[in-house]
Amino acid sequence: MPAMTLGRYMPYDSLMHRLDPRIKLFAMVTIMVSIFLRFGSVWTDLALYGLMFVFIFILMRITKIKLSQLYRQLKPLWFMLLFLLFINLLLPNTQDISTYFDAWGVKIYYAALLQTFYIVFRLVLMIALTLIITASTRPLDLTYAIEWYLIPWKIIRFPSHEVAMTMSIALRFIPTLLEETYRIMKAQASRGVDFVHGKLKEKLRAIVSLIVPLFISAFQRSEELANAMEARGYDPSATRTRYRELTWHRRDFFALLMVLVYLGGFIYLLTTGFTLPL
Amino acid sequence: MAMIKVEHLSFAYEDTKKVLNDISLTIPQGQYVALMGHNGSGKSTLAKLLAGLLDKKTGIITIDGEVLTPSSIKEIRKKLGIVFQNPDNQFIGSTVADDLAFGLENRLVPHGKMQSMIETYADQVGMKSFLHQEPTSLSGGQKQRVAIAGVLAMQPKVLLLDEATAMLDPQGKKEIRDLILTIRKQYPTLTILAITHDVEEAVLADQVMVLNQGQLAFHGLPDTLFKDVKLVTSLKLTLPFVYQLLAAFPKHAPKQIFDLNAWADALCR
Amino acid sequence: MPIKLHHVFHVYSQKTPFQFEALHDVSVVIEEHSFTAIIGHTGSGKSTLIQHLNALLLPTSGSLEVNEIVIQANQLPKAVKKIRQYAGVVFQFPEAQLFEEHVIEDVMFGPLNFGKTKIEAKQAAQLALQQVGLDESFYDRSPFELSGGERRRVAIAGILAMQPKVLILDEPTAGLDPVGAAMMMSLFTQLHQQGMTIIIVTHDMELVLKFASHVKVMEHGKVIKQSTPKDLFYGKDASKDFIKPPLVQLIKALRKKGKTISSTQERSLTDLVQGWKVS
Repeated sequence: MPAMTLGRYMPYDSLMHRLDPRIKLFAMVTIMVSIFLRFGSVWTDLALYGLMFVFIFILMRITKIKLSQLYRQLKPLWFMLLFLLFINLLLPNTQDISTYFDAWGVKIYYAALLQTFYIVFRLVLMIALTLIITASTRPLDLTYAIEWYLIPWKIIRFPSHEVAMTMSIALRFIPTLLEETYRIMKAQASRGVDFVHGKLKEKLRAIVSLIVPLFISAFQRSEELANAMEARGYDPSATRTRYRELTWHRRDFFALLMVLVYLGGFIYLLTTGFTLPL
Repeated sequence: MAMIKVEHLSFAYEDTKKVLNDISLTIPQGQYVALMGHNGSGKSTLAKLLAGLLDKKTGIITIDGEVLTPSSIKEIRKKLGIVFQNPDNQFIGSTVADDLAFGLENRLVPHGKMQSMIETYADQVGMKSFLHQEPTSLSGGQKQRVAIAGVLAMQPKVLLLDEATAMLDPQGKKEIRDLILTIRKQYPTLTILAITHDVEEAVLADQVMVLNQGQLAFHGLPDTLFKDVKLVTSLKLTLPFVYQLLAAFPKHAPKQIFDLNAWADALCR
Repeated sequence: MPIKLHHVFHVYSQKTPFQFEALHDVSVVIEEHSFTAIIGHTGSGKSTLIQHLNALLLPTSGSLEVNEIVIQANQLPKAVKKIRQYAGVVFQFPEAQLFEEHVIEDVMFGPLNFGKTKIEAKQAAQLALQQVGLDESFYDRSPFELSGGERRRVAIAGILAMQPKVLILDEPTAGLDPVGAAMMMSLFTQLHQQGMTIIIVTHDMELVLKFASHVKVMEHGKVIKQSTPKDLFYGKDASKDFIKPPLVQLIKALRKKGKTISSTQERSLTDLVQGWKVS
């Protein structure tokens, strides 16, 4: 069986890789929110967005991600982006219909163009951010970070630890389940199933012949797992100690500081109605 | 002192006929028992009942002096460790170390003690160099060794193996057979109950129990069982190779029946 | 027709950091009507090899010939369905492929995919179920309420119903108890006697000794030895690489001590005893 990487984790050794996943998660959410902010004027927006782009680009380079990898993530979306462009141009969602130019008899509003640019830009940045986080963080470490953020919610009886356990078990079994999917596909192909060609009715049968066994096996697997976990003394509601602990280092303090400065800066700009004198 | 005591145990799954019919047996501390039986004889059901994974039974199960009830099962689980048949479906951690840690976390072992315990028990089963490996890169035999280490780390009184080698290839089966012998030497007071249909495994046990159609049909030495060809056939079992030789050439049996060279000598005379 | 492989290579994940050569320059012929065992350590390429035989995998270079249809590198033949029907592959733990509501429907799935009418498929399914020892009472039962051994037999019936000329099995006795394993092997022996070519991938040397007519040994993606069980276990350069069945060890010890053991006695203890009593 060919080896597989889980998600887009790339085992390099960069500063980003060494940061605590909790700070990375916090940073990601903060920066994502900042992308959606609007400021005093269009030029202010564009200038600040430009700054964000540079910032994220630097982060990408730190994580040792090449632009070509970002491009590969965006490639499948080109059609959707083009579609968005057309929709926004033909059905402008803006009050500003003052400036426009004529192109082949259609009125193209600058505001609509700008709107589309914003959408595309935000999408690219979000994908770049996600790429940075998933490339530099092991999926399991991400679940530890999520669990840490979920702990306070235990007060309102949210099953934080159970959810975290579910996530880590799901992660552990993804390669196993993928392998099983391949095996069943091969078994059914050996019985004459064609997963690619054929009429709709045949394709549906093909999918059923794949999904039913997978579900059956998944249910059996979960029952056996539950038995094994119970037999090993697992009690979802009881306290447990931890083997893997996240450790906070000095570099994480600096990263936190940077995120807070970033956040603070944007809040300041927003509340003072900062506008570029252009 | 009886470690495992079963008294008049009967069990039936929903509206089917009885899978276990009035079974009574005792296993003293420190014994290695192989429990055999044809498919459908009830041996897996018995294992599940001992593990407390099934409930509606009649009869009494006592483990280390404590009666098994839904309320006592938690305590009993600390003394009885189980290794199941499917190597994948009991491997919970993302790596060997994480899986070994799982049991320790459940038992509230302090974080500081975990690493050394994990290394110790991984070493006992020969998996110390695999601590950072993911389960997908391990063989069935290796995964079962990790499962056994996970149980040993709990320092149980009973090790229950529920057809632990059934899904392994011959190499894996041998690994586990050898490991059990090693464990016996290291933990002489550990009681081992192995549910199996592998006769090569059964010959290594102190005692063999055979279930047939829900009843205990034999309880005694493996040697006694395998020398009785008629009984073995009626119980739908097979004979280990040397016992097949014994049945074919009764007059040529050497003193050491497990020594093929001795057989060759004897047969040439 | 024999199955022929010409210089077959197979590389997984080419041009990625995970590139792995699973088959290296494999040129073998699998004789028609043979009972061929393919043995080798885990990772030697056995599974990759058998997946080429029904065009589930294509060679990255080289070619092979199945049922006189040539499979070229990286080219899925147009007649792929013919190949898949001719060479039926049963994977390890085949009971995982069952999905229909009733046993009979699941066994009919294969023949229906290969163009049989419902009536033809049903007949084929009934015959196949009979061959694996499951009677009419099983037809309308759900596969999921059967025991493990029964489910495996249903899965194998599913392939037999396709009426393949070559039956390829990957560890067919894995997980079965000795009685179940014996039943399974006697089924394959019967099919072999009826003219089917049987190819078994296995780790079980006792099986190879008792049933195989030909053996192919694989290591690191290459076929390093092609011979017969007699040669493999009793020959002069018999490999020390795998565990020899106790019967082989005994016979070797006997021969060392000067006892004559003929080749008709070499394959099972029953044969040994029979020949003994006669002499």
